[in-house]
Amino acid sequence: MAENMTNSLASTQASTHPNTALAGQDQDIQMLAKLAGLEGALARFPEDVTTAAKTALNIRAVFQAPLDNTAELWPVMQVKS
Amino acid sequence: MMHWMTASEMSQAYDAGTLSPVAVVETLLVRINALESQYHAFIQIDREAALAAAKDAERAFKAGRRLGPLHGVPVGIKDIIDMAGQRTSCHSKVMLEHIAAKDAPVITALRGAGAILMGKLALHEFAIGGPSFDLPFPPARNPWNIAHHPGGSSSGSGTALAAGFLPLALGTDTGGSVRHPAAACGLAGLKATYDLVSRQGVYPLSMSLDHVGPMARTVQDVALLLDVMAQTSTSPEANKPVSYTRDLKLGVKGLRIGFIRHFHEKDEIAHPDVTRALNEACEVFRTLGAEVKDITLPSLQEFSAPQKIVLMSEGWAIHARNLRERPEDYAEMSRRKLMCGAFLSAGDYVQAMQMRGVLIDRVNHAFASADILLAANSLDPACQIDDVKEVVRTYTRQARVPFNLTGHPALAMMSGLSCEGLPISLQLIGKNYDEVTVLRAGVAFEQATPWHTMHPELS
Repeated sequence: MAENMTNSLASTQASTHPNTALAGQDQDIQMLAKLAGLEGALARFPEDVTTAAKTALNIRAVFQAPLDNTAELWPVMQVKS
Repeated sequence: MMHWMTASEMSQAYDAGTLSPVAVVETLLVRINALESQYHAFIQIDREAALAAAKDAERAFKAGRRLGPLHGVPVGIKDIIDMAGQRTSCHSKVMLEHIAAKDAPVITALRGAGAILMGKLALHEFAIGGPSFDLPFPPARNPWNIAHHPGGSSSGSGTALAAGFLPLALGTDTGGSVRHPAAACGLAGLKATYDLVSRQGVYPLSMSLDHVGPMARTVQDVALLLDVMAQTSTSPEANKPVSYTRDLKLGVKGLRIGFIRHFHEKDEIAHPDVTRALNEACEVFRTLGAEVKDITLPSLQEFSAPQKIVLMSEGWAIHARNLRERPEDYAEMSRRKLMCGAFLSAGDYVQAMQMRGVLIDRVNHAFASADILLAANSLDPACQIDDVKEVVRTYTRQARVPFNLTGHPALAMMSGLSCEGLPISLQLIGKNYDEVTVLRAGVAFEQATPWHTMHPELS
């Protein structure tokens, strides 16, 4: 379903965003991975964990948040009957 | 040749009593048996069940009972969609023991329409991790050139259709996974409006982006399949009875087509063969009487970032437990993609969803001056499947993601051949729930061009 999702971003490029100094700092990535419960993945597939973290941070870096931070989400909440 | 017959042609021949569904299924099984070992379209081929269903259909036809146009027509199912009593593998080691308890509603609808379910089709692991070579099943190959990528994640669906194994297939589409194999394999594929087709019983990747879509070799066949699939919608807005096949021949005279040129000429620079085919498509539509003019949407990059944040967040929520407990059971590529969401925050997700609302408004606004939109699909012809650098380079070079984020219907269809003889594709995008107009324009283009009649030569 997600054929778009970032084979390119799954490569290990360093983040250029000022708020993503974590990229490239493996210790911090390891800490975040452990907080996410990924100790097992970290032990067996450390490069995969690092790549995933850097990909996420790179995406966050290029994302421009909406000007109106009070806007409703889509899809909006619906009453469930 | 029987294996290149469309579903519509089969249906007409059944009505005329000149074709046997048993002969159709037997012919396709012979072809599958001869070629499948090279193309890997299937995870599982249901030979006995398909033949039994064909015999049932034949008996029904002889008794004068026809359930509808899909009665006796073979269909393949992406192996991420539940069929009662069968494994839904999601092309993953993680799911090898998973047997579906009941049919997904879209399968129930197909069975009710008398379609013959031929088996489960290959995909990228969990519709995200591919093409991968470290999975329990090999990746599907492109019938136009076996060394090339068939697109994905509905790769087996694309391969099976382009190889003449099946006339119809189901795919799913979260970031373009129906439309990418349609592009790479020279097919028609539709991502309908977000909630037009039920997603129940389909293993999710990203619930708010996932779509189940019809795939075929012609737009008319896509409409035929959609007629049945859309019966499953649980959305009040989508539940108005519509025939997607009735108005297909009305043409495009007077239709206003907005051409999103900046997607492939400014936001990303498309392969020259893709650009040429798009310009030629504009001329085809003008010749048919449509008014084509350039239109501006937010850039591909503005759509892409929030789409990825939503996908990563929702995908992580679904796979977190398995990635914590058994990461070794995923392919490397899947691990790298599905763990991304662990490094995003709740605030990231909320802001992406806020931006999604803004982008939906922008696309809806574009429809004030256009009845449908015309855009590129893949920005490059399919690359070689084992050329990792090219797979990486070309994978995000596409214009499909915007319409997963906004939910608008988007039809992919073949629009040319590259200089290397590989298919090129375009997209037609419609207003929400206006698949009728999108399909009508697709059929008009199809009738004016030769592309849908071209098939790869398989040996």
